Amino acid sequence: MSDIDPVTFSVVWNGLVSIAEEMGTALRRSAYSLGVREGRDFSTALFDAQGRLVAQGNFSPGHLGSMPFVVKNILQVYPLDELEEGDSILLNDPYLGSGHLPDFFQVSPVFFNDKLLGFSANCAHMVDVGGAGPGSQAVDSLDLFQEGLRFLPTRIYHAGRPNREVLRILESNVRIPDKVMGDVRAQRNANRIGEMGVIALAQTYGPNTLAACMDQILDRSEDSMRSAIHELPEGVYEAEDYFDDYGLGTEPLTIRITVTIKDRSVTIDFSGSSPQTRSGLNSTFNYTRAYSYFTLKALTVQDRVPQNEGCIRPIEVIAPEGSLFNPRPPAAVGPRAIMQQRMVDTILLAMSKAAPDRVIANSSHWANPNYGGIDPATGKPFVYYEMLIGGVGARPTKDGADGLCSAFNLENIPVEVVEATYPVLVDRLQFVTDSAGPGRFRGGAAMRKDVRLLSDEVLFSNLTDRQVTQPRGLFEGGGGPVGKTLRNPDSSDPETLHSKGAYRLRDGDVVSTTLSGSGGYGPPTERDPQKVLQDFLDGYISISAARNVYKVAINLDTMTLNAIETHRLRGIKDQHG
Amino acid sequence: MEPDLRYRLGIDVGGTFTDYALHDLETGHLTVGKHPTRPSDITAGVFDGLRTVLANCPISDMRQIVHATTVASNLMVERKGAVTGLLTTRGFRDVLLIQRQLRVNIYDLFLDKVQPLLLRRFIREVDQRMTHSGEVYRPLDEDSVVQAVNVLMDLGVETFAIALLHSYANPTHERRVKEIILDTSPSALVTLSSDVSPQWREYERTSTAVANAYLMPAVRGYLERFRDSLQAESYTRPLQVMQANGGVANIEVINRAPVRLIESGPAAGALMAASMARALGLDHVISYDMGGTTAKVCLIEYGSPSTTSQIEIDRMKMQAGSGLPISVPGIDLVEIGAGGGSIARVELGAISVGPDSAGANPGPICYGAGGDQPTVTDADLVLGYLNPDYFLGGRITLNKQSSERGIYEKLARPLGLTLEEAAWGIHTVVNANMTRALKLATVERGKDPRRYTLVGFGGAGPVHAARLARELGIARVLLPSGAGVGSAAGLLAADTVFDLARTYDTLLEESMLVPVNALFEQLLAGCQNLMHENGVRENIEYFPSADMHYEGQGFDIDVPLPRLPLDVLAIEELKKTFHQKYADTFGYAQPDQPIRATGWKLRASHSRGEFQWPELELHNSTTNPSTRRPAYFPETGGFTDTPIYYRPILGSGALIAGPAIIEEAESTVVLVPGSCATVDRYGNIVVEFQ
Repeated sequence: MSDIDPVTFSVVWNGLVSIAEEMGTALRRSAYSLGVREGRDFSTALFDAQGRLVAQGNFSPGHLGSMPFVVKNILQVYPLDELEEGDSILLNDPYLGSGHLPDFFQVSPVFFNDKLLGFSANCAHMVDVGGAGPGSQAVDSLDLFQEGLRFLPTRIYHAGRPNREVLRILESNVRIPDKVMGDVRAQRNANRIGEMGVIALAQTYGPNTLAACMDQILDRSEDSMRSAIHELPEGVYEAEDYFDDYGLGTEPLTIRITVTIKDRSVTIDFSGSSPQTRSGLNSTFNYTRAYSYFTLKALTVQDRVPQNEGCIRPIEVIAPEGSLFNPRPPAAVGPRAIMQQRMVDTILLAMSKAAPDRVIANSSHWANPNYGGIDPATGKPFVYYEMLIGGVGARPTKDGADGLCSAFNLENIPVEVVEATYPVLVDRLQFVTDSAGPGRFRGGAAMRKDVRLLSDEVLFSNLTDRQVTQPRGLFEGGGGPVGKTLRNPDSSDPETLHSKGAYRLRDGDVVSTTLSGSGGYGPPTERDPQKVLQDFLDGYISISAARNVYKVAINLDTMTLNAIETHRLRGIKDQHG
Repeated sequence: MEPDLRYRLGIDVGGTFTDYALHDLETGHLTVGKHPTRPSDITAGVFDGLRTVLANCPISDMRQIVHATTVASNLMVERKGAVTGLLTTRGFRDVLLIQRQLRVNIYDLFLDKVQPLLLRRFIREVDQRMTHSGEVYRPLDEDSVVQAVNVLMDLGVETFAIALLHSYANPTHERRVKEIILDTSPSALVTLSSDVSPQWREYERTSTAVANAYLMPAVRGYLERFRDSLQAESYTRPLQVMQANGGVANIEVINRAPVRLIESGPAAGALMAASMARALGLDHVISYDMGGTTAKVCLIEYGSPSTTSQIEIDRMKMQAGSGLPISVPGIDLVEIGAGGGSIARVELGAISVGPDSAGANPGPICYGAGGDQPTVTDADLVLGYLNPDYFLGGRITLNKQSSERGIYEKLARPLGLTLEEAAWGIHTVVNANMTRALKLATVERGKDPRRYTLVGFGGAGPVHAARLARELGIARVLLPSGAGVGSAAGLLAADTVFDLARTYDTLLEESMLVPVNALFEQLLAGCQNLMHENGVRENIEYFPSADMHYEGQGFDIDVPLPRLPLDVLAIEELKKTFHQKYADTFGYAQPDQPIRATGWKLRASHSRGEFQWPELELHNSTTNPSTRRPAYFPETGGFTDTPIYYRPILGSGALIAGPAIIEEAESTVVLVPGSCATVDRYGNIVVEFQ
């Protein structure tokens, strides 16, 4: 224990988290792109003077892996003595940053009486950063340079003044410049709020106490993380899963995970996974780390320990260079977001032997296709980012949630807002019957969304997965059915679209996306028959699934359980006769 | 108004206590009272309490009775409303179940969404489709309606919600569906989403319509029984209830739109603060209500509490986005889990307080009712702020030794602190939490707290208000007398207010004038009808406004319209006001950027005349403490011999310098060193800092 009193420590800690949250509110409120505004695809953070992540506010978990290192990466280019108050450094290099070009970091130093207190930083997903496809996430990119404009650390605000030359380059290389420029300004504002908050803390408690508190926060977070890891049984745990492919006519990709728990530390090793691909489907090492950290935290301390550099110290992530999870530049990486869920699912799968009461079955996934074209109403280009969010895998004590973000945090955009903003009409958005992986506890049901285009010559870049390999159940729970993408599903001749293909679509075409269902937990025949009946009454399962999968008989005339028949189906002898 | 009716009565039914305020219009005297709420039969409990408070004045002498109640919120939180059916557009059965899909706790693998008010089997689709501009894309298939209604009737549905896509833009299909239901079942209760919330965002609108349908049978039953009981005692006037927006309405209006009743209780406190602000001519006030489980903060500008267009019920750990959204205008309260009962513990070597609360039962350790977790009240007792023999006017005797033991064992010892350091830590940390809430309500809305007066009330509010104010740089604190029951008086200060709103998405340009003016004619007619139903035909003020944002940006700013109908010049004025308000909030404006407006709102307000707060009869400029006891103030080196004053004997003009403590039955005022308090003519304690 140091000489800081616990009361000051409590208040300073509380204050830092509160400042990081205030930054998030400011960013969200003044942002332009729907992804930041309604989708919450952004993060905010505060760092100490040594560039160590101390507090994180609102955040997207994908940024966890890069946030802790971003300040150090920037200091490599801009040594401390070159930084001034009012500076803001932009970075979107996927290898130094968060794994793909649309994620823009801005980092600002915080000074108090010429003394460096730390850094204020945030990361936000831009709607477009140029490149071959709208949204800058095309799967078929062969290298990074096709994916858009890249910034290694670049000072875009100097002593409070915008660097107009650089900003003009940015403005002239993106598809929706007003939104991107608006978001860049919003990011700068958010950092300013962080700066003011940290300065106020230094004024109240003194810069030295503030620094000592930051130090303590990291040490105590590390201690808690180590204690929590210590609760997990030591051992080596393995699991393997597959991505469907990385483009039309390609092979499945392997994700192989070995988790080692030893001496209050964890190693998550991706060795044995596929090599990097000649496509955008590559997860930079920062991104791989992000979801490794995330999963470990979810399994242990959750939000009881704040996200900072201390709590990642006990976690080592290994991925061989040149592999799918640690590609070498300039491998393309745009669509890496759809890989996140698989990392989480596979780590949890490995850990299911170690901590069966803490893990959940494989979740569904999310699809992030986009549509680009000209809006006939305005004559201007549009990029419509679809965010389709599946369900959560079954839990040891209860069903998975239907249609809830699992390893990420996005808010869907209301259909009524989408239709008022883009030239599309949504034909349906609903759960699919018999799509939940069966089990003692079932997985979340799959989601289907059909989008009708009201504009001609639309470039549709599909981005989804789980159309070949299904989410797995745990402990004899069933897997979730695979998803699919169809063009014109209700026509006489629906066409299957590839999960990562790009297609030109016409006015009136309908793209129907069905996500996978989530996995079940425990044998379906052990599911409480009452729950089976309720799922049937609510249309989540059919009468035949009740009978054939769950071995539960329902009287259709009275809509009640047929207990005797259920006993017979389940092979249970009736005790009364 | 008949001159012979002498009294006005406010009744605020809360979870634990029901507060009463009786205003004698002849003498100007205000009587307040408190009586335990009887959850098993609220109406009977209220009448028991009334007999105590009213003493000898008969209910037939009441000119006006205003009622605030948690009945609607409770029905929702406890999921005890009626069997409700929902009809939606084909393809959109799951809007209510999908919700917005956000994780309020990203790391919790066991997280669930908020449980909807009805099961999926009670949701059925009908064939039809509107576009966002209100054109019929697919006509209504009436057979599909009949089929869906029959299924729901067979399931025992007694009340229907209809929420079709884009019905805010064109309600004709919803209206036709209602006709078809009523043809089949003339006694069915039907709620249209286009009536209760004609605004875009299908989940929020559907959620609002479903809540309305779900509440309707029970709220009607409750309010009518309440009214009948009053009428049985010869009360002849309409029973009025408080709405979430802080206006009163006759129960007939609420019976049709019971969602307006949700959160009516918390609104009353903010109204009391607003009324006091008007009486004193304070333009910038923060209302700060700290009770047993939560603290609620509201900004009051120029006498009006700020409002929000959406409220939320049944939140998880009070987190925004975790509850059931209801798109009705409400008083904009920032609520956090920081109250007298908030539990303190050690987390990672730091003290953490709340958001969970020991509530009233078992309550803090010092209540001696089985609570074993140290709370804010325990800390305030150990610090000498609370009088163990005069808590709630002596209704509860607090056990200080057990608080000391609890704080020592659970916090002081593990942290290596002394008992008083630990108690002080709890006090400081909960204050830091509240500072955060106060900042949320001010700084994040672009307001500077230093310009405000903090009005503190609720059982724990006056204990913490002065120190909070000083931390935020707030120069003045106002502590109304009867801090724990002031909200019932707030009911008597309420106007008759109705808010109507509609979504119409347009750029701010000349071509919008015709449709927007037509829209406002409808809103105006709607407001007039509501006022007429409440017996109001004149002296109605109208406040039109619009939610606006920069094209492509999402955050709406509420901008008042200069006049109705709008004209070309008004559009220019609107643009100017928007740029200014945007700059006030975010620090910069973007004058070249086109402006879009989506939500058009009309508030109609009728005032029955300003509430006359009674003035203190007692005047004295000096007073002597009734006793002294040690209380903890770090500024004066820790435990300090502190004068204790008895508030009821303080007259206007009384002057007290901190450190000091002022006690009354409902709460305790703590004056920190360096502060100075005076009693104003209404009996408020006004604290200022040197």
